Amino acid sequence: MALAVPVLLGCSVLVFLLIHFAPGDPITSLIGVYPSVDQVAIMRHQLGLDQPLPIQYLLWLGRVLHGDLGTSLLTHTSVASSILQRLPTTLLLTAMSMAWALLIGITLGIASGFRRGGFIDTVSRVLSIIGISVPPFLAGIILILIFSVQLNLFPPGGSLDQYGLLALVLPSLALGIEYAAVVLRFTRASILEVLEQGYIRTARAKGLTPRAVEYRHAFGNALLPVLTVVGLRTGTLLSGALVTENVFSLPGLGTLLTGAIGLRDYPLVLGTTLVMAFMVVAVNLAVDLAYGLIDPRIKL
Amino acid sequence: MSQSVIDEPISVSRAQVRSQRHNAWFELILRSPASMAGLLIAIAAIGIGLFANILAPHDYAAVDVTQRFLPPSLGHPFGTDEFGRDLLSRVIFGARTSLIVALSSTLVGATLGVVLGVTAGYFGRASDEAIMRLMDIMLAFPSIVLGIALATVLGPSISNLALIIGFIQIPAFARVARSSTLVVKAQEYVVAARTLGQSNAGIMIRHVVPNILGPLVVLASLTVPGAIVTEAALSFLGLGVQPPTPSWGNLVFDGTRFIYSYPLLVALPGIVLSIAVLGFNLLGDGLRDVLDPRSRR
Repeated sequence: MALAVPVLLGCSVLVFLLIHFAPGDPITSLIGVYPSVDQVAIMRHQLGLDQPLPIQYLLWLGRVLHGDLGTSLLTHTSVASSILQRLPTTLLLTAMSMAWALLIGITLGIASGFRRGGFIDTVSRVLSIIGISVPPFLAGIILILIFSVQLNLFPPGGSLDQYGLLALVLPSLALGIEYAAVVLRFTRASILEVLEQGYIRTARAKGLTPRAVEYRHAFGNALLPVLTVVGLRTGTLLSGALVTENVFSLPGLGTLLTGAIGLRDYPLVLGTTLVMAFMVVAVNLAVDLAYGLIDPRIKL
Repeated sequence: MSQSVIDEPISVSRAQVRSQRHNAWFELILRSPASMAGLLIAIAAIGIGLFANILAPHDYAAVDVTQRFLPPSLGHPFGTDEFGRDLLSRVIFGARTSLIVALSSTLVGATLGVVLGVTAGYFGRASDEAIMRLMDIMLAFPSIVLGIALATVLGPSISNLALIIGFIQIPAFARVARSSTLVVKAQEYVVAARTLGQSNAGIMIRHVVPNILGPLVVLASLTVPGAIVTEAALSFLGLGVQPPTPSWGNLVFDGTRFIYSYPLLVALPGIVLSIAVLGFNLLGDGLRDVLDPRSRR
């Protein structure tokens, strides 16, 4: 828990340095390829680019802590407001993908764990290995091919304003499939492990029906390790959202970031990346705290 | 004299363990059809990448505007793309690019990760804290964001991609190497080597690293498909391998522009990519079952 702050600071230094040593000058993208020497000097001073690097970093960090992520070099709008405007799409996309993943993954995981070697088990093993092998961006393209190009059921891309939640159905599925496969595998493995435990044998021995054993005793205890995976993987899910948004041209943080990188818009890149890192760290912290609630034996 | 007394029984028993493990290896891989399929796919993929210049029926960069968007035929089994280039040849050379990136990045990540992880685990204390906290920071960073940022800084090229993806993999290898080192360094043969006055570096290279290879091989086999996917994702975002050099990622990306008019251009490279990733995943799972007894279910 105490790790969250140094991790965030580390992330911010890393991003700051990385983007700063990037080739390409923000000045040239602002005032054309052949600016006069004076123009460049004035511009550099205005943007604070003439300060030493550590000072530039500290100045930036101080403003960030006051909620000011700076202004975009190109559109001259506040970075924080651009991010806030794009954030709901990314969060909704991530949440919907996670909902798919938990729905599909836990349902199939339970079904195959309790009936090991059965029909559902075999089918879900095949599905999970396929799900893990098809990267989200490819899954997105396949879904577009089937549901937009062939069946014309969903839009192949576009914003929430245009299509409402319909715009998120395919992207969230594309992003959630891989995750569902992971959840499925862990749920199954976890249930198999729990079924070996002594208290399950006791429950069976005292004559409970298989259903009562499975759902009252095994189910809840099997979910804790699954929660760990869900938490650890949320960062991956957010990263995946960046790419998936680009596949479906969804106006979220991912498309904001790739656009900003293409234009060397430093403040926008820094702000977006930092917000992404912050969200991942926050989710990890939330998962740690959730452990304590689910399993009272775990103390932080 | 005392050296041979300490050394011999250990080296014998280690050799025995190793030969037993070898038998189990082949048996288990052969017995599991999934791992077998994975092994065959992986070998085929590497073979295609190695012998791309022999296997490809055409020049992957030969433009012919009269031959654009040809459907699959005997001359062009995968058809042709928007410049009339043979798609099969491009997919075959794409295998070379994608696998070079995937394998060399895993080598980079494994080497640096093992150096850091073994150092952290072997010396413990301050170096352990410093190294592992750094790894935590890297792990907390969303990997694609890190990849995007690094690719922007270094500029897109095949060698940079390998470095970037390798860099992303460092913490995973460091963690596994560290935890295995913690187990190994408490073993008698390490204590014995230290008693005999071997240097720390010597002990780490000669006694620690060879004994933690099992879990590292498993991890490496599972990071290769991940690296293929990351390469594809970065190339897909335009930050990876630059045209006209084909990679599976930029083939898929190029194809998406014609998703309505000519969907085969995105579907075929996509299918090949998925099969390769599937193969490496199956092989990795199989190896994990064999080399990591804890995960055997």
